[in-house]
Amino acid sequence: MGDSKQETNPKVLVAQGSTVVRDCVIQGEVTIGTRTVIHPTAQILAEKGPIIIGEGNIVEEKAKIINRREEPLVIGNHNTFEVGCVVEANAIGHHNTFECLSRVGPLVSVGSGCTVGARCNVSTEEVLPDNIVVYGANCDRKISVDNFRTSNPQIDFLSKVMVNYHYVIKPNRTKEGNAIGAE
Amino acid sequence: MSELPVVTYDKQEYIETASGNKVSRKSVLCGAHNIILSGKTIIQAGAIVRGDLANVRVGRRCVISKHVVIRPPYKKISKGLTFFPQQIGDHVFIGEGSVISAQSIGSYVHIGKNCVIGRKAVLRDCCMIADNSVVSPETTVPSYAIYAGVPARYAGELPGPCQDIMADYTNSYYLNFIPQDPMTVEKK
Amino acid sequence: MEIFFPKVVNYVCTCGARKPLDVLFYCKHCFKLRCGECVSHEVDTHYCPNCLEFMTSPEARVKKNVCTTCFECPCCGIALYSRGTSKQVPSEKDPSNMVVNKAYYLMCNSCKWSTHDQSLEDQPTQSGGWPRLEAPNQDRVHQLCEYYRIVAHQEKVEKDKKRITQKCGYYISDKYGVASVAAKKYMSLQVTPRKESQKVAAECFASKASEVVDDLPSDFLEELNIDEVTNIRMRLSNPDIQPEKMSMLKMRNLKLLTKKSQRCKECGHSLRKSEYNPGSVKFKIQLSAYYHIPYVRVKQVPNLIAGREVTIELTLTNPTSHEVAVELLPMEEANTPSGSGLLFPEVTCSPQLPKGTLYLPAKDDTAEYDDPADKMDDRNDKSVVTFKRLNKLGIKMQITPKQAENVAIGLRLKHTYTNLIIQGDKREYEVLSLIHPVLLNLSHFAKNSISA
Repeated sequence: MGDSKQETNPKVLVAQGSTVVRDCVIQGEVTIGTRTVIHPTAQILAEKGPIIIGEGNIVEEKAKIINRREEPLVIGNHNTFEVGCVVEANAIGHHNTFECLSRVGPLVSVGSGCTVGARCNVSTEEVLPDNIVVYGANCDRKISVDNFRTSNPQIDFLSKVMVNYHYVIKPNRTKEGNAIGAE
Repeated sequence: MSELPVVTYDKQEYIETASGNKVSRKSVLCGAHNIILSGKTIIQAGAIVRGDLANVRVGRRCVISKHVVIRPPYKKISKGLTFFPQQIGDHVFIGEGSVISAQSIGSYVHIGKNCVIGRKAVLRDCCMIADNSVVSPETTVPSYAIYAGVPARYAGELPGPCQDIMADYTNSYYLNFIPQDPMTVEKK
Repeated sequence: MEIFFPKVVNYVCTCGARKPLDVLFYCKHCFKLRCGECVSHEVDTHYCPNCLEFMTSPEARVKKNVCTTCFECPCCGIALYSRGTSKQVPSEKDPSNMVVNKAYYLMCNSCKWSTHDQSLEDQPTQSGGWPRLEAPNQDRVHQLCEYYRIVAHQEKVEKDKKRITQKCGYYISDKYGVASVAAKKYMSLQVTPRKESQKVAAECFASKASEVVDDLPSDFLEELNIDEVTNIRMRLSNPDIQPEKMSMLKMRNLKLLTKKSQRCKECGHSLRKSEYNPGSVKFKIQLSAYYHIPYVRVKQVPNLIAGREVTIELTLTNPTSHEVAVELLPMEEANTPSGSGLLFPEVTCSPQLPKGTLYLPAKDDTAEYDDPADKMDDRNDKSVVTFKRLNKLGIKMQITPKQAENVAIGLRLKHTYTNLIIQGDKREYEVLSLIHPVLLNLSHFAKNSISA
């Protein structure tokens, strides 16, 4: 439930059905889609350009999503940003997983269904094709097929439970993107 | 092992409980009533313990260093998904920056810096995870094993008196973790 | 790693090896330190690192040292775990009715390789039924092994026959009780190899050389897709087939680890024996030096400058439950007739050791719960002792390093050891004096100097 004392950044557009805790750091113009969960201590920094986050994403603790370009960073649906990852990509597709402590550099465009493994770096200038798994100490690549998993059960649980323990930002947009009258 | 240096901390920064737990005010403990610290455990600045997802039970004389994230793992059950309670044993040392999602960690375990312990991993008593290694989800780390690398594989064996070495280490860490009044420091 | 394998303080084992005290053993019967090389290692049990199932050596040999239920990923080498899928299929009885069919497949949590990549069918049960990888040339190798085993046996029989028939030309009377022994030996020569081995060996044929060579594979000259080529580690982890393409990777069973026990080579007594169950951390016998020899640790070392005298601080810890009297003696000269004859070329400076005996109180396990009132022991020289806490004593000494780098100190630790002798009902304590050379490598402190 919302706290009347919150000072919401007016440029943060939170859709109905999402769970965005107040303890995260959101800077700049950020749009958050429905059924997205942002955990405490996550950082979404739209330093120069806006960040548009789609539906059904999970951003866990200490994850950092940064946009230092003037073009908007569009993040698709059903992505998972695990603990401590640092993502600064050009564009992110759907159904990706960025595991703990991974880093994605600023010149990368991530496709759909990719998995960047724990402690892996993807920082060369490239377009990461679909269904690629980056794993191992040398950041080896391989193609994997079983990747289109959604985190819907987790999102259901988190939306119910996190509300009991954290202050949540009140949504100011409906699922379709229309402004809600009372704020 | 050389003797541990004395680590002083700002007295204002830490809360000391009746059972001797020293918890930093700069750490984030979500759902604090679900987190059980058994006694003489140190939680340093920047650590995050997610008690809101499920119960977290930490044993005696543990050391949770700076910027560690402890979050219970989730498990898919027939009706969807729940987060399962997490158990950490006694005399466990967790190095800086590590991310712990293990199902259970035994006693006398040493986890290095910047490690990632995957979901539902099980670390048995008296094992060691080397610095900068990633233990993949659901892995079982047997006793007296040293696991290192990305993904973590068996890399060596711990010496026999491992239990007493870890107990001595955590005991002397706690003894050397001394509060210092910042006013007296300024006067000097 | 510094905690378990410290590099600063090394004790010198009886054989001359420099090892930290944590890994040394102490033989209670020879009263000497033993390192990993002075002991004989024996394998107790084999266990799987994943399911912790344990078995004895003969059983493991039958299973070829792999776990039958656990599999390892050919891509990254860690264990594979089963995941379930459910599909809706028309039921056999009533085609119009959809039934949920559960199927399980194995998947690696690190690289996401799964049995689908190997084109294996999903199993209906969570824990079983996966086919075991057979080596492609297994039958041929088995044939050759059996054939050569028979050849070796025949050669051995001929050699023994020659030796025995030379001596045994007359009747052996049973006066000396040798007849049964000779008869047994004669019988062993009559043993023929098992019928199965003979059958297998009979089918063995010699390899034939041929001039016809296989053609190059059809895709040899096509453009290579780097993502599909396996790396060296993946190929060598499966030496039977050595797959070149990712699609040819096959999963193997997980290799077993061993639990070893150690035994003193000189007196034959067991020094360390752990429990058979790998889930337990206890030991049946544990004679580590950590529990018997006082531990020397370095506490403070100021900036080391060549030629200038500095004070360093060490601590001594008594791990036994009896009081221990410690003396720090200088290293012995190289040519002492009664010395151990060991040389220590790495020692670069000799410290000014405190004279006199230091007394360390016994280790008290319950003291952790009380706040002790630590009284300084009057017998100890107060100018040398810096602090005392329970069974630990801090001492200081002066050293004058000749150079700032590579400073290594040597000293001999002389301490009393109380040995408990149980004879029938009597318990006697016998106090011995033991001397161990200790080397302290202070070059680690030269870079990170702690100001005194």
